[in-house]
Amino acid sequence: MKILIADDSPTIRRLVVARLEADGYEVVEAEDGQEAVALARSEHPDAYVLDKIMPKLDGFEVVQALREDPQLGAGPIVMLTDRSSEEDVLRGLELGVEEYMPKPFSPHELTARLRRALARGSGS
Amino acid sequence: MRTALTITDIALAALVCLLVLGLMEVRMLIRLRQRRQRRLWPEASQVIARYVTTGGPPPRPAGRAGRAILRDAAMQALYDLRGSERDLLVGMMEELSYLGDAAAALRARRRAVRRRAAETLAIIATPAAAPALRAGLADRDALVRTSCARTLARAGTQDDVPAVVAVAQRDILTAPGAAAAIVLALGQSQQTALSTLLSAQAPARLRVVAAEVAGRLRLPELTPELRACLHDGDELAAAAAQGLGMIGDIQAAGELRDVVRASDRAASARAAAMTALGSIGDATSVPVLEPQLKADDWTLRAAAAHGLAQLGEPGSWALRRAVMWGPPEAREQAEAVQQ
Repeated sequence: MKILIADDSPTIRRLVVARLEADGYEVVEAEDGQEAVALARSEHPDAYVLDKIMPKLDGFEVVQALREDPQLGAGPIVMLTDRSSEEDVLRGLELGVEEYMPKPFSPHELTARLRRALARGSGS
Repeated sequence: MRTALTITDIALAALVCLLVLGLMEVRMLIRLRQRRQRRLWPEASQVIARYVTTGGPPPRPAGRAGRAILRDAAMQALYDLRGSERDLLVGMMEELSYLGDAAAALRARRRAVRRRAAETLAIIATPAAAPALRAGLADRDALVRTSCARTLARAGTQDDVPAVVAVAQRDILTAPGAAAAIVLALGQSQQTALSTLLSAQAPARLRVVAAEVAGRLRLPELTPELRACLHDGDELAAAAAQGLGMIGDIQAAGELRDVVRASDRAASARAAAMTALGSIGDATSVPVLEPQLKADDWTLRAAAAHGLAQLGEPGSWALRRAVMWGPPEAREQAEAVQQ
């Protein structure tokens, strides 16, 4: 399974990558929204972990780009947010975000949610 | 005259040169630091990620710069992490003496150093930091002592509450935002302390903040204290009414109606009481709110209309009556909320 993680903080990216790799996932990293979309097109990941606030394209814009591209499939998306406001959650759900992780977050919990989202995807 | 001017000119030129050289040096130092940070940060992040994921012995950063970068990267991670990974990282910070360094820096002469240390201790916020934080409560700088108080409110014990409250009391007028943050932290972790802050012995401004916090955190155990605040000054009564409305305390309805009826009270307190009655959903308050649609003060009319709009069918009927038969000012408010 290949996961794409997009976050502008290198420290958070490293933490999530290390956790995902320890759990047996292959991981590709992007440091902004534009790179995330480009990597999604070239790497075809099975799922995405996206930060909401990123340079160039924010998390929602990346989700929109992913969902509008028929070649990218419909891998589950977990979004990291500073605060899960009702408005953000509703916007994300409309766009197709499966899970929200408000920061501060636990990488352990993140992988558990990702695993669940992937299982739901393969189940349906 | 000519010679004097020349000497002044030379002195000025030398001063400008010195300033330019100084600025260039500062810029060069900043660039060097940024370059070093760019070079060392990825490695520090990698080390932290490995340690947090796989455990093992804590990393040993090389040199002063490496140590500083590892601390900054760990601080950034701590800000975004919770759970077992955070605990591991806090353990690493303690083992590598970052906590001890921050505790020592809290005694530094320079205010900026002490502020940074207080910030570090606030992010680490472990019980081991408590002794340093307690000492920081007496700092001469308001930002340092309020930061220490806020952290102790979260990470300290019940015994720390009086000293934390004392800082909030001391700084409520000069640093109201920082003092309010202390009260919020107390409300989140030491709720009984809020009870003390709502008592008549506490300073008036602090009581107002405590009432706002009790409402925003929706703490039903503090409704007796909030109800008592309704009988106090107008600003406090308004904050208490707002809090009671947020909590939804039906037992407060009678006292809130008394505030609405009290024509000698400030409009802000009476309006807050009407909004609270609407939030609580006390339909028996309609006869008290309906006459306020004709009040001289528009804030009272607006609050009455909003309150009535939340009181179900009886409230809707009151608004319809105002639209059909009320004076223009009542009709205007009633129509506005109906739309």
